[in-house]
Amino acid sequence: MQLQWGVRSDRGRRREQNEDSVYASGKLFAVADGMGGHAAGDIASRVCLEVLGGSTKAGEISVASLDGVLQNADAMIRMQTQARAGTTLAGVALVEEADSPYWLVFNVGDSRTYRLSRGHLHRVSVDHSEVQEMLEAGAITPAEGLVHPRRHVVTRALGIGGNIQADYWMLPVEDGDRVLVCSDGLSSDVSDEAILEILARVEGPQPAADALLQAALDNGGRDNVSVIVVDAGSADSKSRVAILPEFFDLDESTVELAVPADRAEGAR
Amino acid sequence: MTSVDYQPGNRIGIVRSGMLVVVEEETSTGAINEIWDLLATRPTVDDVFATLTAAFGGSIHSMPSFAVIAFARELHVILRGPLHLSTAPGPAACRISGNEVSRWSERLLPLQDFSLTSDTVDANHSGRAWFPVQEAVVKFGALRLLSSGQPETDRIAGVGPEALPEHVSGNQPAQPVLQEEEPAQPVLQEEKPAPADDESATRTPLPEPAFLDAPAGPVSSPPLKQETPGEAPAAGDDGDEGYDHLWATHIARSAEEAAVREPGDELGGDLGPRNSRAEPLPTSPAVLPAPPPTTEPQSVALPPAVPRVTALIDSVPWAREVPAEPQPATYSPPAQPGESVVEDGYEQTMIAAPRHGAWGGTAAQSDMPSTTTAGVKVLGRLCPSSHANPPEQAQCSRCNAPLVGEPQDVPRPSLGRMRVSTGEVIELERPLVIGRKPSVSRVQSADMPKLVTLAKASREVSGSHVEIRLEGWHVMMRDLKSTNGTVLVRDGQNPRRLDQGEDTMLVSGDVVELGGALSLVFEELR
Repeated sequence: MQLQWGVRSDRGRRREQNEDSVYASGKLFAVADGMGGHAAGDIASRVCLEVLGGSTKAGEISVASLDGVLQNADAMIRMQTQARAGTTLAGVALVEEADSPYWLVFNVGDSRTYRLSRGHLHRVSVDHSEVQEMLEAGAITPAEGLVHPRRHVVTRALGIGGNIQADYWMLPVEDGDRVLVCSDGLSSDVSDEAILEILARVEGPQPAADALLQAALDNGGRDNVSVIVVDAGSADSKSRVAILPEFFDLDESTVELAVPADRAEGAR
Repeated sequence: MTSVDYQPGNRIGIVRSGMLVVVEEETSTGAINEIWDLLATRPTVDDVFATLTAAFGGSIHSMPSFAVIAFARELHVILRGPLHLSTAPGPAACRISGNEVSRWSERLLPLQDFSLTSDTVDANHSGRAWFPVQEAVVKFGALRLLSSGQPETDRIAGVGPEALPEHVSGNQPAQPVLQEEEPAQPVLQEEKPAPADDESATRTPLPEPAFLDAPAGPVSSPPLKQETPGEAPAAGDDGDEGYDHLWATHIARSAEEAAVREPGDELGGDLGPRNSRAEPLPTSPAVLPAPPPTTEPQSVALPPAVPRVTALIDSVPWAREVPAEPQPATYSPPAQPGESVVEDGYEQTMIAAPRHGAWGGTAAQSDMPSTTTAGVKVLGRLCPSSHANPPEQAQCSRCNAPLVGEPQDVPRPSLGRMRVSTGEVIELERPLVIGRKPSVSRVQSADMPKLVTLAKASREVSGSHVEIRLEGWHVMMRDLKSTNGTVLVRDGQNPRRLDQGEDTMLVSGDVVELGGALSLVFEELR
């Protein structure tokens, strides 16, 4: 199983700075959306992914290990921001279960993970947000949720001292799977239908990430936008821009990937 | 500046290169020397761990107690056996023990002061003197890392030679023992990794461009460094955790307060010594010294003058400085003043106040639990041989011993076995999802089932076909809306096809047919 990925992160059109952070390695992809204003949210999201990336570099990733890592990240964020900032965290890890590759999807907060698999498109993660709770209780309709005044209120986040319990999904990796991890800057400005249409239409993970970011900017770019698109497939499936040697033993230098600042800004 | 010191005792501690390895007294000199030499190469924790396990040989279950603690960058702790590590008392205090785990306890924490003790420490230890260690092999009863720059001579002043610790005898001339002549630079100063070092760049909170995609503006905004020395928290003795004797006479700041007092430059590109991250805990003086004016500004505290920060902070009702005010659960909450921050016409993401009880008690604790999670508890009774039994049972099902006493929470044993027609046998210790390509949606870690992949299953078996849940002492099965259905064959009854999504309780001897091709036999259910 080989993975390719494309990453974009942008401060959008309205924010003064980008409080999102992204992490992409050969086996772990995550987006953290910091909140806390000024530099604090930025620190929270970055520290979160530094702990996550540093702790998962060696050894296998599992639900239990991620739970421990999230506790440490939570503590580290509180230390470094004096509990004044928090961050969401959403991502996907490539793991092995019973000799088969699996997507281990994890989520705390309202960043999201989508999956395109065997022609089916769907959102995997379920937001930890007040609007989501209202939806599940049947108190509002999805259409109402999109414009609800409290649609930006998350019920779980790392670093603030509240609930940090992550939800997990284990999904078998199918040849040709495409997974999107994004901050709510994408999902608030671009509808699920439009996101899934782009994922289905645009070939190659980096062009797909570019197109998603552009869609968010075209629709207002009101928040920071971060996008990771991961394609999985065997060597001979479709055209692949770059083939990674082995997903568990990547060269250190290829493990972290982020878009250079000039490129992130270039979309505008 | 950090330093390590210790009280004499019977454990062998090997301190070198920002790492501490603890082994038992009986460990051979050869093995100790091997570890000593290994530490000089600045190995990773994994390297040391591998060397230790190789040296002890055999299975992990027969291994003696040991500890590997790296404290050069972050605090990476591995403990096995009766060894306990505590961080400084305070709201974020953390205690890690190697006891009561079958293998070892492992934690990765931000670098901070800690103390390490073993169960064998006698009660009189509290009065004993502490001796400094630079890089040495010492026999210790308690050992601690402190980030104060106390001159070593002060700490051993007045201690007569008879109180000096025994040294582990070794025939290595290079092996330092008690450091008599203290160099000007504390030992850990040597530990700073080169700033360009790949590993440190990825394992420490140094700013790393790879993670960051902020626009041009500098991350390390100068306002981060605004706390003046005069703003140091007031001295107060909150060391009431029972480990005070391991710390200085007076703990002046809680761990949490201490923790945020890392140099602000950590976040802003300072590539200085890593050990400067650790909080200076005052050791002997009873008076809390203000942060030395000569050092760099020391806080990541955000300047209160920044209005946006204030606005947001005010809106987080359970931030440490603000008393928590639980809100009632409601599904049509109005936007609350001060909570929803609108800046420049767009909405800022907010964090809802915690609603107590809404999360089933899974909210994060400030004292983080050990990563070694206890198994699921269930109401029952233990026989004299510690076999767990259901509460209604009068005799132990394994050894027939009478069961007496009130039922209590006991660790849940395996509830039986599942035998797959392909030959696989699975103990019923966790929930299961069984199918051709089983998947799991939206569970928390404690509820994560084991995935049972029926490798040779035909297309008649659905990807996720049935689910097995353990509820109390009962084994429950549910059809996961499988395409070709699930049939339950029970002794003395007609085979029964489960409805899609139907839940049923299994009993011993039940056979479950999945889509007509594969079957599961449940044995020795309780």
